Amino acid sequence: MKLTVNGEPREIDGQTIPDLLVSLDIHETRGVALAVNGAVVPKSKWDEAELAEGDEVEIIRATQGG
Amino acid sequence: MSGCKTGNRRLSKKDDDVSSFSKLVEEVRQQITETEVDVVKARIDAGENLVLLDVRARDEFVDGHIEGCEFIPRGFLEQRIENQISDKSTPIVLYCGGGTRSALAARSLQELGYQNVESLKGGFSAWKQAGYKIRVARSLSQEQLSRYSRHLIIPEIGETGQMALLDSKVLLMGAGGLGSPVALYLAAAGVGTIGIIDSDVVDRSNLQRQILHTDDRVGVPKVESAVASLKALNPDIQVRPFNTRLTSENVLDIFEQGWDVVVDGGDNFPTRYLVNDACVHLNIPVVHGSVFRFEGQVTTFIPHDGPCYRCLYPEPPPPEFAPSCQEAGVLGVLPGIIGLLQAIEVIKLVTDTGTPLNGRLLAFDGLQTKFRELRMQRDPQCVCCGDDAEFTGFIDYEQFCNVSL
Repeated sequence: MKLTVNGEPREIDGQTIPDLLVSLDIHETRGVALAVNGAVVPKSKWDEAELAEGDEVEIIRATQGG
Repeated sequence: MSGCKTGNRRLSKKDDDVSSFSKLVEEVRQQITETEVDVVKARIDAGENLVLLDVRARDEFVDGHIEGCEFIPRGFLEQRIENQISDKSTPIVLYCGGGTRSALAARSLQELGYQNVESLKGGFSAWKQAGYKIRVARSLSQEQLSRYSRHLIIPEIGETGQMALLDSKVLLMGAGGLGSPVALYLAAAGVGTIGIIDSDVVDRSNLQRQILHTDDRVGVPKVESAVASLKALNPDIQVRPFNTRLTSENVLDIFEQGWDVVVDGGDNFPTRYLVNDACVHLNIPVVHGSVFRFEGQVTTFIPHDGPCYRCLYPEPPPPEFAPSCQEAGVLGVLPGIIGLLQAIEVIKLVTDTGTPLNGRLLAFDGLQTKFRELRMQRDPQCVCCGDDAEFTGFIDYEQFCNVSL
């Protein structure tokens, strides 16, 4: 399935957020937030949310600096 | 004899003046609608959506005015009315001291195209004589009128907004990269009470971005340096320093002092989670900002109305995934940009103006000069603000974040 991740085109296997994270080699998900088409998907919903062809995904990380 | 003659001439000249002014007022009165005070009072009490507009001079307004009125001095009326009341079909009742200036003002507004303008017959004097309620305004001092003059002429801020800023109490977590610009601009804007929590002393490596501090204050507690800078910029405000690390033990003492907004400009995850949990518990909005090298994030968390920090990041990243500014570096300008976005959020919240970043995360990429905006919702399953969440006290945040501070 073709997606855009942080502005870059990506091809992934699977339909779910965990599938996407595996494809991107992201194994540590603490401090990671993910938005699909501009809306953050709460972490408690990651397993049930389905991705669709052409979705724009943004992955951001918590930063602590101030 | 000649003196008498001159006197007569003067008298007759004065008579001419009076009569031409009276004539003008008489003419104007034919062209406008004058309404008795009891009629206007009854319409207000019945809930009619009319705008009562005081057109007297500032000192008259300050001495006492009709409650709920708007105020534009006669001399600025034509210039400012369209900013203040843009819909020309709005019913407007103008008043002055006795009903003459407001009659003239009413004609001017008609000439500008306002369709439902009336003048209060007998003006403020008649209103007072009828025994109706008046309000004596708190007024800004001459120095404040001058200091905040550029705010006062913005319709969205004005005197009401400036008073709200002066009455507000804003607590800043951190007097560092983010806290510096936030504190300076909020002090300049006239936020009446600014609290600042920080346990550090000024280090020379801070000065590349922490513009509250100066080279000659290296080694001085940051909150002490902050007080000096802010009072120098604006002696009109109060600054409350908290020279301490925020902990689970002292958080309630500090946060339960009537703060309207907390600004999170901390530099570590344990404090950020503590600020979040305390503010959700106490129902205080948090304006959040964080920075990393060329990147920053900013949002506003309004407890129970939108998401909280834990809805976005239920857990902090492990330390090796999220280095601090000390470990990873930060471009000095970056906290300036993020901090000022936090400052404008505070001003909007305090003055109830515009749309806050509640439910929107703004991520800034300084290398590309790009903003991304992500929508966020409260997570009903959030352990802090979710439907079943229950406050059971503050945890050990260092252990939660797997760090020791």
